[in-house]
Formats: sequence, structure tokens, C-alpha cells
Amino acid sequence: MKLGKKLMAVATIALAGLTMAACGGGNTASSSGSGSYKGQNLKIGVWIGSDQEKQGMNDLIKGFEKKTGARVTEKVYTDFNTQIQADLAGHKAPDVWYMDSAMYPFFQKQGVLQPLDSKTVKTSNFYPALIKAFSTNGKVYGAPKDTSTLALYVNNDMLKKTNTNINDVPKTYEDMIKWLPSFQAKLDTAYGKGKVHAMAYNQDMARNLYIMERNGGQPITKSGKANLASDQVVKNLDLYKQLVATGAAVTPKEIGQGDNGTAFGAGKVAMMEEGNWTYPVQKKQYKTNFTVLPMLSWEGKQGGMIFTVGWGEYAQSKVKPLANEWIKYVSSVATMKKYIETTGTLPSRPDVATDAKLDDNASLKVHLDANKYSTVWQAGTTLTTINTSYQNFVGKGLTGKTPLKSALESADKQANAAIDKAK
Amino acid sequence: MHKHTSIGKIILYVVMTIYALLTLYPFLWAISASFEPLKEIVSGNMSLWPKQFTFANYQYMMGTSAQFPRWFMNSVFVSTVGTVINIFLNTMAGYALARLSFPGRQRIYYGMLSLMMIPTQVLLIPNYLILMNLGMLDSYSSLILPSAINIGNIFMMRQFFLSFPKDVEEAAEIDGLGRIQVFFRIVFPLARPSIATQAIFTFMGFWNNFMQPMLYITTPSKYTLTLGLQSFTNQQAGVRWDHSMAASVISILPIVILYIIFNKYFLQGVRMDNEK
Amino acid sequence: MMEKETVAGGKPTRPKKKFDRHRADAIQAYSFLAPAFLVILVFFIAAFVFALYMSFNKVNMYNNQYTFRGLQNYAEIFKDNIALTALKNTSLFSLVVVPCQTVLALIIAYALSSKGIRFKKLFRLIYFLPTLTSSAALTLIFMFIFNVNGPVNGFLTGAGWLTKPINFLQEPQYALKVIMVMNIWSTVPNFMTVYLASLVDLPDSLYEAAEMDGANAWQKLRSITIPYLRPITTYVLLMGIIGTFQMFDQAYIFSNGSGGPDNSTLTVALMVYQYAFGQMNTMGYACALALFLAVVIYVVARLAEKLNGGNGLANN
Repeated sequence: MKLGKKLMAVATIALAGLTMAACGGGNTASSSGSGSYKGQNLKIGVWIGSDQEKQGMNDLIKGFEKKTGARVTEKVYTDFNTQIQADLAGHKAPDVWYMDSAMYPFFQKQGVLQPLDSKTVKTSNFYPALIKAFSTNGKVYGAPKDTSTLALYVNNDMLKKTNTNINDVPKTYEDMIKWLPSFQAKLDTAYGKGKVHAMAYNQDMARNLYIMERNGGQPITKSGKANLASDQVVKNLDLYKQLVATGAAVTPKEIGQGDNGTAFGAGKVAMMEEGNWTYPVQKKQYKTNFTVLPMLSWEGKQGGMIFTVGWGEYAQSKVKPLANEWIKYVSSVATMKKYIETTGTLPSRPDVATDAKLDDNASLKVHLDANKYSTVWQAGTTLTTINTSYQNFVGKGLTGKTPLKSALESADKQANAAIDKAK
Repeated sequence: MHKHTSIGKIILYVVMTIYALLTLYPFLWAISASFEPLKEIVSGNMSLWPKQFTFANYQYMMGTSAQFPRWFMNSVFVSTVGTVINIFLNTMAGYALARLSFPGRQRIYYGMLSLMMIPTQVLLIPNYLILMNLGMLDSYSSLILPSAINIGNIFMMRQFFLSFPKDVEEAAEIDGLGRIQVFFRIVFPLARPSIATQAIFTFMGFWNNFMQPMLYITTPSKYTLTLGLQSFTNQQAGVRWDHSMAASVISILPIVILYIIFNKYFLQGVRMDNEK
Repeated sequence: MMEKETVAGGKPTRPKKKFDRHRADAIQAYSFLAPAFLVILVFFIAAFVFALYMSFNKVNMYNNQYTFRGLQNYAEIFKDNIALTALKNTSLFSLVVVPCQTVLALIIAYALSSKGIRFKKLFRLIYFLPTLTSSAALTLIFMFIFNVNGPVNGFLTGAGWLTKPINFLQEPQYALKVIMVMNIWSTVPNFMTVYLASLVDLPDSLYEAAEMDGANAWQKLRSITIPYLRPITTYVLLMGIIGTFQMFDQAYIFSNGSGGPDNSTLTVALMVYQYAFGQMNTMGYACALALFLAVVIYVVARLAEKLNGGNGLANN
């Protein structure tokens, strides 16, 4: 083992040098006055969801370079969690980057985000719920870039083939659960048994959170522990159990489809609750003939989810004024209007929505209106850990293999074990 | 006895054909899917022969970026340089470990084996930081240098050299060749089948490598093919089977062609090739 | 067998020049190993020491905070039921996959190297295809062919072996099995090639002698091929064990990173990834888990190599 020791010694020296260099590397105070940004370089970190988004991003970059004379380097993340962690550990993170509402509280807590002043983000311009999603203790740490909401998509051709009027589609979950078996029977007659399912649902907190939180349900405690098996949450989730019991509701994976949009586009389900990102895909890619309806209400109250992504600014950025300039630029009415028209997303500013006449499109109006009654996808710093555990176990509870409560207890146990380790 | 052999042979052919079909099966589906519109792929009654034949998926993948040829060349460059370096370093190290006796051999050998057992996920960030401090991030060296050797292949070469006839070297030494000459002029050519095996594995390793380029490369013009393809198949609105299957076929194709070209040199055991 | 002795003991072939030969051997060996060693030092050992250091700390990679906590991370592993489940899945996976891939690879290589077989090149090319593909692409292909409406279910129901399609991807009792099939399928060609490369060196005279004695194909395989290939089998077993115990990407893509359904596809490497890159500051625990896994692999590898009848990895 003599050699082993020598190796260790050499490696330790190498490591020591390394850590010193790593610590010395960061933290150069940001300087540079305003005025011309010529010669400066802004690094942005994004992910690309569709071709349209790619086009929209290219337009933003070109426009900004022309306006400021600065150069923009774009880094496209494909495995965000791994890449951003490596980047932050190496003090190499982009100056501004995309930040999902669910991830925001975590980043904020790590102290890697720069608070944005009121000149950079004028809060009154945005939908209040979205600004709230990126604020902590009265400070704003992110500029909402766009928003997506859920709505109920119904396949018109299937309604026609089963002689169902669009007005017969229930508006509440209570009625839906009663109605589904008869609708499923009609689908079975029209298409053959098991070929088309009446409705898709998801075993994912990103879709179920608003139901879980009904009537004071608290899936996550104030201290960030998983609390999925608590009475109110179990009672709320029973809704999905009833839905599954109709025999007409399936998850897309159950029928071998990657997600709701694919299942709907492939004609495997007649209805789904899905975000507005599916709208252009259904229109262009699948050429589905569909109607967009508001989300179902439950116990007299409508609900749904809001997904929003914001621009965050790196606390160690060396070009903060330029980064602020970028955030101002992408949040301005004209730029945002062009961006949402290219990408088909919904704006984070109500005035842009008006300006772009989105209300004229009945389908998009349904999505836009959902901003009023929906819940933002966000719940503390432990949300994604708890959701991973939830997805892992909830299935057997909903399909009745085990009682729902005990399935959720397993999920709680696993999530909390992981959370405790981070303490 | 003759009859006996042919029954055995028939069994061999049956086994080989069944296995060949099993191997081909997923590929045929993938190739077929890459020529079909998404709607037909997900419909559930897709057939091996596309009902609606289309090149749209390929056009899409090729058209996503003007940098496509560039990425392809990057992959070729990184894979080729990386493979050549690997062949020399691994073969030399494997030879030393198998054929030469020197103090500390066992320890070095066991040390290398142990390093292989550490899951690579935890080495990702340390390596990222090391490369950063060497100033190599976002360069081709960051893809080549950390993979300039492969412990698994060193180990493989060592195992090959263990069963490699020793008399050849001794004869050469008697002929007055120096040690280095013996290695490069006698041993190296004779070890060609195993080196070719190593080369093709290494080349593929570089070619298909995804994690390292993803972490280390930021400039789009320096992307490798896999990274470039991936950055366009990553779609929020559902898995695009049509695009990802086309991307897979595009990324496999160059290696298959290379493999067919080099098939002659590959596994060119004397006995195997002389027999028709 | 003689050369084995030389290798193991460094027994001099020409006693007169003993000292010279040893020195020359050593110089040549060190200079041959030096470049490889440099790379290992920088990118493996330094990285490993870093990982080791992190395993004794609570690590927050986001803001570079390290808090020393001694062996606590390691102690946690033994209290962690999920780690146990993951280790169980991983071991089961290895136990099924390694023997299958080794035996299949050996049989196919033997068939391919048999005399008088035609279309060898074509077979070889076909067999080699899976190795040429990235595991991300392969996983997608497999998920596609195993989905409820996919070709596999179509075939099984069409042939009347199944009345109702099986949800291979979502049922806990099938999910890991699909990954096993996929892994065997994609690794066999790799090892087959390694076997083939060694088989071309096998002297024909050995087979001819056996044929004279009236040995059939099976007897030749057992008494000549397998013993001859023992060093390569050691390599194949070890690489198989390492590969299966570190299996990550297939499980990751398959379960979308969750290890579900019901933890059925949770492997230790996937758990390492979850703790290292999840929304938590648990890089230290991830490193401890990874190093623990390395020890497990080492022990299993030594056991397997004993079972293979070797007398130590060094001499085998």
C-alpha cells in the first residue's frame, strides 16, 4: 500500500491546487458603466421546447445585439439540473438564465440570484400571480417570460361519431364522473372496445397540485416535509381514484403514449387537460379537430395549473448592467408581442395579451382566462423531490392495488428520507 | 462423421439466423419509423413497411441547423484523434502490464481496476472543475484528453497479451531488434485483431459520447453530432418519435459505413480470412 | 502455461542476464505506462480524491459550501431502506444479465469462428449493429417496440400467446425485465467481438486433434474453446459486472429519472444521480453512495473471478 499512499499524496496536492484555483476564480466585482455595451458579451442559458421557440430566441438575440452592440452567447441546456449545477460550482453560470417557477425557490435560497430593481422589472406590468412566483420577502428575483395554463381539450370528430353534443360535456368533475361511463360505452361501440379512452389524466403533482391543495389540503408542510398522506390531501386525491374507477380515464403511459398530447393527437383519448403548448402541435402536427373548454370545476370551484418560466440573473455576473438591459428588452411590450406571436406561448403581461388581440382566438382566450383561477406550479424548495416520490408511488393507490393512504405514506417516507439528508 | 458435422452446422445456422433476426428487429422498426409521419407511428397499427412514406423527418433533422456538416466533422475529428491516441496508450500500457515484470506491477494493475469501479456520475463535477482550471472547457481537448486512455481497454489488451505467443518477440530479439522496435514492428502488427477491436469500441465511445460534450461544450459550432442532434430532439410538447428515430439513424449511419469499409482490416485473423 | 509462469514470477529465461533484463523490463514498462498514468492521475485519481473528500462533507455545489461531517454520510447508507431496494434491484439485474450476456456472447462467437460457415461477414455486421448505437437511442427504440400498442405486443397477441397487451413499461413486475432484455441485447455484440478477436489466435491444430478423436461441436467448445478463452472470460465477466452495477442511462430514460413505478427500476447509480443532481444539497451523500457501490462491485468482481476458476485476476 506504499504506492497507494504516494498516489494519495500526489492527488491531494493536485486537488489542493485545484480548490485554490477554483476559489480564486470567481467574484470579480461587477463594474463598467452604462452607455454603449459594444464589446461586451452576454451569456444566456435557455432550453428550447420547439422549433418556434428556437426561432423566437434567435429573433430576441438578433434584436438585442442590434440595439446594444453587445454580443450574446446562447447556451442551450438539455439536462438542466446537471448542467446548471456544474456551471454554478465552477462559477461559470450564464449571466441570465431560464428558471422554472418550481425551481425558483431553490435557486433563491442558494443565493445565486441577483435581486432585480424596479427599473429592470416593473412589477405592475405583469400578471400579479406571476410576479409573486418570483418574489421572496418583497424582492423580485425573476422576470416572468411567458405563461402556460391548462384547459380541457375535446376531440370534435369523436363527439360527432358518438352523436354527442359539445354542450353535453360536463362542466364539473362531479358530473364528469357520472357521465364518463356512458360516454365510454358510446366510444366502445363506435371504435371497438379499448380502442379509444374517454379521458386522459396524469399522476403528476404538476397536474394534481391544485386539487391536492383544495379545502386547506397541505401536501407539503411549512418546513418543506412531504405530507401527502395527510387526511385532507388523501380526501382530495380520491377524486382521481373515482375518475379511474369509471374505467374511462387512463394515463397516457398506460396506453403506451408518451404524454397527453401524443395520446390525444393519435386519437387514443377523446379528452385531455393540457397546456397551451399543445395547441399548435395539435393543429399542425396531428391536424386534430378539437375544441378548447375551460377546466372542470370541483366542489363549486374552478381550478388548474399555471406554468411560468422567468429570467433569473446570476448574482456573480460580471456584466450586470447588460444583463438588466437584456431583461428589460425581452420584457418590453413590442419584443414580447413578437416573441409570443412567433412561439405561440402566452404573454406574462396583460397589456401584451390585449395588444396581440389574443382574446380574438376563442381557444387561446380559454387559456388566458385560466390565469384567473389557476395555481402556480410552485411549493417551496423540496417540491421536485416530493413529486419524484409521488410519481413513483401514487399509481398503485389510484388503481386500487393498495389503499390510497398507504401508497402516499410510502411516498412521504421516501421523500422525507431524502429531504432529511439534505439538512 | 460427415453427416454428423452437417447436422451440427444446420443447428449453428439456425442459431445464428435467429439471433440475427432478433438483432435486426428493433433496427428495422426504427428505420421504418424514421420514414413515417408521427401520426402513423403513434397510431398503434404501424407496419414495418411505411404506408405513408416520407423524407420529412430527415429533412427536418438536416434542416434544423446550417451547422449540421460542421457537427459531423467535429465528431469525426474528435473520434479519430481520440481513437489514435487511445490505441497507442492503451496497447502500450496493456503490454507492460501483461508482458514486462517490474516492481509495483500488481499494485498499479489493481489500482487501475479499482478506479474502474467508481460510478462515473460522481466524477462528472470534479472533472468539470479540473478541466476548468486547466482552461480546457469548451475545447476539443476537453473531449479528448480525459478519454485519452480507457482503463477497460488497457485491461482488455492485457488479457489479450496474456494469451499471445511469446516466441515471436524472442525470435525478433535474437535477430537484434531493440525492445521498442520489437514492440512497434512485431508485436503491434500481430496484435492487429485486438487493436482493431479496441479501435472500433473507442471510436464508437467517442462518437456516441453525450454526457461530456453536453457538460463541457457551450459553443454551437463546437458541438458534436450527438449533442447537436439531441439539442433538437428535446421537445417539450411530447416525444417526437419521428424526429428522434431519424436522428438515431443519422447518427448510426456513418459508423455503419465506416464499419463496412474497415471490415476488411477488422478482425483480420490470418486463419479466418484465408478460409473461403 | 510456461509463459504464465514468466509473467507471474518474472522468472528469467536467460539467467545470465538476469539483472539487465529486469532493469530493461522495468524501464520499458514505466515509459510505456507513463502517458497513460498521467491521464489517470489528472482525470481519475484527482477526481476520485475530490469525490472522496466530498463524501465526508455536506456539500452544496451551488454556492460551494462544504461542511465536514465525518462518516455520517456512510452511516446514512445503512439506515436507508431505499438504498437497500436499489441495491437489491441492481444485484438482481447483474445476476440475470451477466451470465446471459457472457454465455450468449461466447456461443455466438464460437459459431461465427467455426469453420465452413458462410456469410460470416454479413452475420458479423448484423450482430455488431447494436454496439454502434448510443444507449439513449436504443432505449427510445426499445420503449417504442415494447409499448402497449407496439410491435412486441402486436406480435404476441397476433400469435395468440396473449389475450390482452401487457403494459411492459408501466407494470412494476415487467419494467426492470424489459431493461434486462435491452441490456443483454445491446452488450452481447460487444463481448462477442472481444471473444472473436481472441478466437482467431486459437491454433487450428487443437481443434483438428480433437476432431481426430471424434469430438463433436459441443465437446470442442467445452474442452478447447472455453479453457483457451479463460483470460478473456475474466475480462468479460468483470466488465459485465461493472457495467451492470453501474447501469444508469437506461433506467433513467425509462423511468424519467424517478426509478418508478414503485421503485422497480431504481438502481444504485440512478440513486447516486438523484442525490447528486436533484433539487437538494446532497452531493456528499451521493459520493458516499457511489464509493460504497464501488466497494460492492469490487467484492462481487473478486467473487466472480474466483468462480471462473482463476487464481487471482493478476494471473488470469
